[in-house]
Amino acid sequence: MKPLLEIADLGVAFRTSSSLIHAVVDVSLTVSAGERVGVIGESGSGKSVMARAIMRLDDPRRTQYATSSRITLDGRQILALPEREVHRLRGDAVSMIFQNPMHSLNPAFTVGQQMDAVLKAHRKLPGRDRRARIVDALGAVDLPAPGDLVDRYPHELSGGQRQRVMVAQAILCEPSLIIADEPTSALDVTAQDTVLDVLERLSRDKAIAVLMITHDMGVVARFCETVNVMYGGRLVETGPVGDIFAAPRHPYTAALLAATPNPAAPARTLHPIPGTQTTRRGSASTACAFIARCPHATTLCKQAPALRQIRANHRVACHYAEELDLKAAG
Amino acid sequence: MTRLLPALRILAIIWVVITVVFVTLRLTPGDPAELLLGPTAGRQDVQERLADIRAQYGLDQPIPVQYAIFVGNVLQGDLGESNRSARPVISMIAAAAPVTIWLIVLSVGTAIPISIFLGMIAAARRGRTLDRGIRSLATLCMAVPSFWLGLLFLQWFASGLGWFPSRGYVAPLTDPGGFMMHMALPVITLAIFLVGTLTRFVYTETADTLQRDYITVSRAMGLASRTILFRFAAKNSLTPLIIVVGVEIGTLIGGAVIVEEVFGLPGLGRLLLGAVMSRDYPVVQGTILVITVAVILINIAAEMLYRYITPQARS
Ligand SMILES: Nc1ncnc2c1ncn2[C@@H]1O[C@H](COP(=O)(O)OP(=O)(O)O)[C@@H](O)[C@H]1O
Ligand SMILES: [Mg+2]
Repeated sequence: MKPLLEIADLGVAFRTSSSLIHAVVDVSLTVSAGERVGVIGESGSGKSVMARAIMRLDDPRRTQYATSSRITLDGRQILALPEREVHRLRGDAVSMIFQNPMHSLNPAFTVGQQMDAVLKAHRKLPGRDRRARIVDALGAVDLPAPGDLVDRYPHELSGGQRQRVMVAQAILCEPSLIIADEPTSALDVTAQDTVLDVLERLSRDKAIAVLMITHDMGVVARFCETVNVMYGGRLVETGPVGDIFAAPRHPYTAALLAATPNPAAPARTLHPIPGTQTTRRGSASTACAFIARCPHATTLCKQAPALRQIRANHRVACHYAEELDLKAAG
Repeated sequence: MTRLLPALRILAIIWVVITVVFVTLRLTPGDPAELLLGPTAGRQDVQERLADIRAQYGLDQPIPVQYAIFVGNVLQGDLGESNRSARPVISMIAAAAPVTIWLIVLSVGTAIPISIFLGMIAAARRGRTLDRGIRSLATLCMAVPSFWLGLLFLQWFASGLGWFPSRGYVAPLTDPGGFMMHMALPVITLAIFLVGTLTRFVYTETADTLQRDYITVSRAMGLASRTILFRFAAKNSLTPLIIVVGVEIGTLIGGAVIVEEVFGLPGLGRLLLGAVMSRDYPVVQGTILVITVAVILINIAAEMLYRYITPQARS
């Protein structure tokens, strides 16, 4: 079966006045229809840039996609489409949910007015039908009294409620893919649970694929089927969640897991290893992205390791993937 | 009690303003009686006549007594009579106010749509040529002195081309066409200054709004740029304009004084300027009192309108 979304050799760089910032380097991943795929990595690893590239949201005057990059969505070449056509997909075939629900809704408009604008942008429906559909969507994310909620302003809602409104808005046009960029990071634990539950149920019931971006192994453990680990703009390990949690093959993944002793208890920050990740400026590096912080690094690591298949669907970018004795949980 | 506080504050502001005006007038050199009497050369009974005039207008009283009488009259709603024409100050103000109100309303009405359009377009095109062009234009509008611009317009369009009458005023009900012709140049002069200020404000607010997360969300959900800019960003970036226009009313009245003088419009500004020149104390005091009250009321109204429109402020 053809995957719904296929990202191949994606490279994204930003032009600044002084240099070129390589935010994403050579990332490839696939999402099948209805699949829940995780992308994990600490802050600055290029997750959001990758997510925005799928919908080409970054300013085209500053953003450079590597020439070999391809993003294929349902057979469409996203990076080659005219802006007008990409715009038609936004909010329709692909929706996005962002990190901070407190800032994601326009304070000057009611929930209903904002959702109505989305629906109007993509569907020709009479006003009465649009309202019914909005109320349905609000009900589908378990918000109480959806009929009243449409006329509420964002400031009347809690953070968790607002994030569920964002989910409701995301499913309005029945997308085949939802990109959720840290949708629970700004919420308290109870609200996190609710939002993840709602998303998981919608994904199953309506066969919506979800690309879940997070820095929390707990979220990956409970929500995702496959996971992609990013570091310094590169993909370092990818595979089924079960395999990777049981036997991580990249030192960075192992460190992430070791820092999350109990994946059921979500971690607040993700900074398991001493040192900081650096984003490449100027020309792309030829060394392994993790070399500076890896306890197992050797001179061989000055040659960037390619992403290699070591088992079915399990790929790792480490020269020593087979040899290292890595423990998942300390 | 807490409901009374704002009212007390407003009264305090009015009291301070009229007191400052009262004191400043009396500290300014120039004797109203002498100015009223005119050239005195060759007259025998100068001192006698000056004393008469002073007695007639109460100027012979000690200043604290004059002040007490003035405040007492104001409290009874009596602004006194002109030292010059003996007309009641209140009716002089009533005659002049419509001219100024028209001037300001028309200038604000012209400047707001232009500023909104220019400011929003510049913000949407941030960093590009059009943006730089618009912002330079706005700065230029602010920097050009109104009196100079007014004189220039008079020179070109009134005296030179003869498109507009050069000075004076006709009431809109008497002759609507003539009213428009007389108001055109003064309104444009005042509006140009206002366009400068307001365009810059709209630009800053809109550029700020366009950086907000909810705008990114709107883009990511596929709303048209037009809808985002003119509906969803506009409401956030334009409502503060109400407050700014309220605040600018003070500056605008200052501008009206100059424009009325240049174009010979018989408005409050001209009334005030003439009264200051001739040390017509009651007229100066009365006009400033009325302007102060008007500015305060306009600001209160602006605040209330803003609260009504902004959902977060409403509840
Ligand atoms: N618009 C931009 N211009 C320049 N640099 C950017 C831009 N967006 C992101 N970056 C840089 O790209 C890197 C990856 O950022 P991001 O994808 O936001 O990380 P995260 O994994 O935390 O989501 C960071 O170093 C960030 O500073
Ligand atoms: Mg991010």
